[in-house]
Amino acid sequence: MNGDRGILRWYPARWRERYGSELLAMVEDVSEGHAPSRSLRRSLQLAGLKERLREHALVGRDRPPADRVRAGARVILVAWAALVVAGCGFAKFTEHWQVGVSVRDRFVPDLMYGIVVVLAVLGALAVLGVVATALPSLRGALAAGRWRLARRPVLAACGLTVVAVASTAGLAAWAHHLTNAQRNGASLVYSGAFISWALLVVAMVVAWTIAAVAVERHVDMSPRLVRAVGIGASVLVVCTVAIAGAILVWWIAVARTAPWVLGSNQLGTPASPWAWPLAGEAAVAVVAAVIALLGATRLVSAARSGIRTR
Amino acid sequence: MTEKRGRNNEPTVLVLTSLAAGAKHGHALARDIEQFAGVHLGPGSLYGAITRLEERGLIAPLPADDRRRPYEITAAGRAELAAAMQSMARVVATGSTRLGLGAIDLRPT
Repeated sequence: MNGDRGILRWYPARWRERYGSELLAMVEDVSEGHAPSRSLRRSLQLAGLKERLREHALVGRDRPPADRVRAGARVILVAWAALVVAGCGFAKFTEHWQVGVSVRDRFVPDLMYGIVVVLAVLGALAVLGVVATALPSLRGALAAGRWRLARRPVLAACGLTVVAVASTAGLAAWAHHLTNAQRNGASLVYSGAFISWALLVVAMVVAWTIAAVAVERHVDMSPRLVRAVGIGASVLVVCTVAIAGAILVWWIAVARTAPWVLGSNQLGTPASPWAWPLAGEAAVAVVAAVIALLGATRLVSAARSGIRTR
Repeated sequence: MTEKRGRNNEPTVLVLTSLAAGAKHGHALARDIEQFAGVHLGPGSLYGAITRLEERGLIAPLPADDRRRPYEITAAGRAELAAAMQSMARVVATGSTRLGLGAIDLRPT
């Protein structure tokens, strides 16, 4: 049955250690000496996945409300990180949009663009607010010698940030010596460098998200911090959903009145409203909004169970 | 079970009901449950229920026989099961009265 140990891979390590052997024994009994059926394997994969989600307090009601708030906040943070990536892409794609849209058609896109900017700042402030509230707990974790538990992801994120900042400076200096056409696709070398830089920024956002989750797992949550996390996460949910909506409305408004903005940006030229970079950014933003709402349901379920934050 | 008490097909209730008759390991539990409730619990669902029940101290593991570990119901498990049964009995009684069925024979078939 060594091959069947693969079934257990879906379960968390701690669970496997405790129940793995007897679960395999039962699988043997149920399968009566044959290889486990495909449906049995699938149901075990599903059960293992559920057990993993439960371990992280992402499903079930058997964990304390504070743990469920943390789990919901983690999901929302991941959604926010995805939205930051989509938002950066949106900012780049739309950097000259006003040039191609007549003044009378600018109201709705302007409003939506403003909403994206304001909510992006608000979301960033919410994250900073939670970090500030967490500082005493972070100090406590450091004093308790827990730094080594989160050291690797934090150092990786710091390293990527240094590289990203240096690359940004280098790319900006390079761009300064290029023509507008070269900066916008005529120079293949610059385009390649720009795409590499964008991927680096995405990697940096991912690395900081992983680092934040790693640190959070080793920090003791005071009731005050649980409340701050709950409030901060709720603000992020609202920002994520509203930004995703604003991006979509901006797209529709521009596609209706000035579709050339989504293509060549040459005023009055026929163009398809389907711009693949914008479609990708909008899709990521919508997925982020859905994930944020899933995280929010976790927060609400924890709140309903009664969080004691005295 | 505190949040879902009363659902008689809840795997945790089924496991407790089975163990109320004596200690059993996984496969024996699944067969017994299928026999008295007509519910097929696969290894994944069964061990999900066992995990939850053990975490809450409602069942306890006994020394393993080969790799097959039997479980027994604890005093807290009996109390939990009794409370679940009373809750279900109230639903059965109310439903029977409202349907005009009179008293229902609750003895096991």
